[in-house]
Amino acid sequence: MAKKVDPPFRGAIGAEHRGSSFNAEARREETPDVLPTSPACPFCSGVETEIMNAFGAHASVSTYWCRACGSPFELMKWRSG
Amino acid sequence: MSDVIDPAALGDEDRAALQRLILTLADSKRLLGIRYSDWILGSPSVETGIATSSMTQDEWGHARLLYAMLKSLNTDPRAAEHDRATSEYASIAALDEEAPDWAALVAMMTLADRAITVMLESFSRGSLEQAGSRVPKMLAEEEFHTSLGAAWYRRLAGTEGEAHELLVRATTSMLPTLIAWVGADDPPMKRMVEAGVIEAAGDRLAAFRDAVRDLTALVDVDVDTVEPSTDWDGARGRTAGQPSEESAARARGDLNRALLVD
Repeated sequence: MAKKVDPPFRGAIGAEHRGSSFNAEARREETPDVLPTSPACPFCSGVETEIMNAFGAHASVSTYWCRACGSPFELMKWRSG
Repeated sequence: MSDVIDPAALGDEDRAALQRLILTLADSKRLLGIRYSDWILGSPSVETGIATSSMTQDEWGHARLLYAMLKSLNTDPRAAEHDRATSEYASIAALDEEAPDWAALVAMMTLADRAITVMLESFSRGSLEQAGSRVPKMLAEEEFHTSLGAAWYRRLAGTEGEAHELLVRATTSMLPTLIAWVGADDPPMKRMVEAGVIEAAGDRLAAFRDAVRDLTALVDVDVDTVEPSTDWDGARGRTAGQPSEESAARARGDLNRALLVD
């Protein structure tokens, strides 16, 4: 079950840069189809999410960004179900 | 998949051929990891730096799994990993030198990494049980390398000027040795094909060409007309040359030798 954080964590990217600090289309192009396009945000449960990087701080995770609450989050690349 | 073979029951020549195959795959993974690691800093973006860091870890993890397969041939993986002379390294020639620019690294990611993946796909479908069980996870991780490499290759190919030229240079430089390696059909490889360990040279080469054809066409390189290098080194199962001494020292872990633990 996803842990909810209220208020959501605000990442280093400020609100004024949300959605513009990286090129989502380019990131999507770099990402294999096995990853979900818009997984639910673990902080706010929103689905206005997009890939930031197919790779992450650990070898097994990809990095996403939630446009709704402004939180970066990681997703296991290989999940059952 | 072919009938499973018992590595311990192989004759001397089959055994030597299998060892050569495992070493060229493992060494190539080890060297590719080093090449990716050179770009953890200095990549075009923070995201690509993170990607090269992650791919470095992937490649070294794959290398360790491949070296460990040597145990079934009664060869000490530790000696293979840490105690070989530079001239014994069987990594592919495309990885002998560090990528001089980002375009060269993109070519490594797209062409060299893909060549290794094509060989591993074939290896995983063969008669060696360890390959069938260990390699599929590597291939799943490689999907991420393939996507990133292809996206960057298209991006650089679509530019005009220096980036495009550097990509052409790296592509034309790497392909002959990669084609020679993927399409190797010398006696040891023929033995592996006969034993069902790996698919026929023509099939492997066709798979590689299929995988990169559309990309190299973007820089006007027809992969179907590229001739293989003829400087084959049958002892190591790669084309002539060797990694730089500095690269081999990193691959062996010379600086950390005193810290090695079981």
